[in-house]
Amino acid sequence: MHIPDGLLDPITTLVLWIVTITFMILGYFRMGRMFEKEDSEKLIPYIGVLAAIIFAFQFVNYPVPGGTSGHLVGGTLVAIILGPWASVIVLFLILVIQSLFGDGGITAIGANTFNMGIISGIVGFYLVMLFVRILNNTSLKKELKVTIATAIGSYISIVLASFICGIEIGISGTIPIEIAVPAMVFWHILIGIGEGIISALIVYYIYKTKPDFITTESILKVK
Amino acid sequence: MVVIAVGFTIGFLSENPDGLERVLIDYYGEEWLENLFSPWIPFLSWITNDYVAGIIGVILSITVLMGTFYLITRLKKKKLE
Repeated sequence: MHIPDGLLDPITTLVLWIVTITFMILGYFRMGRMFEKEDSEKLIPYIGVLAAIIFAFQFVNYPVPGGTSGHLVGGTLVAIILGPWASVIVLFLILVIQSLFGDGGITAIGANTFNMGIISGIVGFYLVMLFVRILNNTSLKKELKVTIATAIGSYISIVLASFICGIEIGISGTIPIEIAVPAMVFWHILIGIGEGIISALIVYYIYKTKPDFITTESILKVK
Repeated sequence: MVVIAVGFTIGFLSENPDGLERVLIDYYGEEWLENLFSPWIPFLSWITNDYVAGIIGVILSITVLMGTFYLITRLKKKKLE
């Protein structure tokens, strides 16, 4: 879903940059207390590993029926591990690095961060929270509740992000909105399955091996 | 490290365009997509080998993110003092 340069019109590009920068500033101030603790530097190596995972997995182009491919976005995944506000900053930085290789446009970083960091990250996180609340009424183990909620939440967030991306393309006049939106959503209904599965597997693995790395457990209120 | 290795191993199996590219190619064709205006030449686009690009990207990601969050934690703690 990396929007290249030249696809969106200047006004849409500018508005999305303003929104993204606003969210990043808010994110800095609203990031969880874990970054203020005495031993918060201990999180830093894990953030490095997470960065590597997100970058590497964004390279994983899995084939999707119909002659296309998908890759992990990781917004919801990062939001569950580091919190929704941190996910915007993480995705922004990864998108900047990817733009150095020509993967996603430099002028489109605002739009890409909006779609992958804010929609997939923040909205995805709150979707996961919603599904955790629903699953709290079951007798499933904690890690399974978070895993299943992650799968569903990240899937929906990707489809939603593709919907928004379709609107951005339509508003910019690149492709008529009545074509762009259904086409984007159609492909991402398929691509999102991979996002859901990969995100869920990573969360499950972390929950089993290093559960305290999931810093949002208290916010998710898993019972 | 296993995750990264797996990612690289299977990451280049699909040469097909991703969802957004597919939509654009279906509407305009591949040539149109390749000729979109860009205000710059990406600094690292000269790296043609996917594996080299991937390794450099991972190293950059780790460095930039660790550096950024280290700064963030220091700033937040300083504010508390």
